[in-house]
Amino acid sequence: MIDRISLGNLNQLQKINQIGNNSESKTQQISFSDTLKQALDQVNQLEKQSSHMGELLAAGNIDNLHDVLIAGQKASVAVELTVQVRNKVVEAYQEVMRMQV
Amino acid sequence: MFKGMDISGSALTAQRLRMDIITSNIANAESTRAKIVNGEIVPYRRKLAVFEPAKQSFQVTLKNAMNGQAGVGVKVTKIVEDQSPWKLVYNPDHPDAIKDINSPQYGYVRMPNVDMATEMVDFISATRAYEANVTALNSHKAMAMKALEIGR
Repeated sequence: MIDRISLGNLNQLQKINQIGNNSESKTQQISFSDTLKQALDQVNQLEKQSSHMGELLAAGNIDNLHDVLIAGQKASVAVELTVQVRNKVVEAYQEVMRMQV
Repeated sequence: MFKGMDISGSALTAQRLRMDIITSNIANAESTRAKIVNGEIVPYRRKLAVFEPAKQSFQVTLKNAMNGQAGVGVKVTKIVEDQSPWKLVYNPDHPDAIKDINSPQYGYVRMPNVDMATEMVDFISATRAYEANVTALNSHKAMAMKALEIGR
């Protein structure tokens, strides 16, 4: 029991250490690739949720039909927005590449 | 970004639950033996749904206030029974007719206090509320898609 108490204290000290380290690293800038990855993760999450709802509907476990459709619409809107953003970014890149040196 | 859709979704769930309750009322309009209260068999009482705005956690409320957002969904919190008096129908051959000769209601059967006309009106009202929320949801999606046309 004494070992567990000391282990508990050790865990708390480690957590306090980690918080201190995190606050140091947050002063760095969040890169564009991180933002992009986060956005894509969200879109992926919506897609997975929508396909999961579709499976539940096919198995007959769904209580509310509108929940399935709302999840589908959310995923569709998110993907559409992402595609448009990607188009714009690619267009901007091509515009820059077209500049005569 | 999809908060409006979630709010509409909660309203659709609430209206569907209200529809279930109305359907149950219509189906049980002639149920004379619903439950036993104080040793006495009591007919079905008409049920009503109570809607309330959904309770939000402190975290969500704080985030809304900081981001300048608003909007809260709806939830069915209680299903209460309508306390209006029973309908009395004269039918001495019914097994649940009052058999006490001295009572002024001798031969009458206590029927559930479900009025078909009221239930039909509630049913239409729930259907229209469902459609209104579907329209709100479609408008949300249309607004998001329109935003993509900026600068096109």
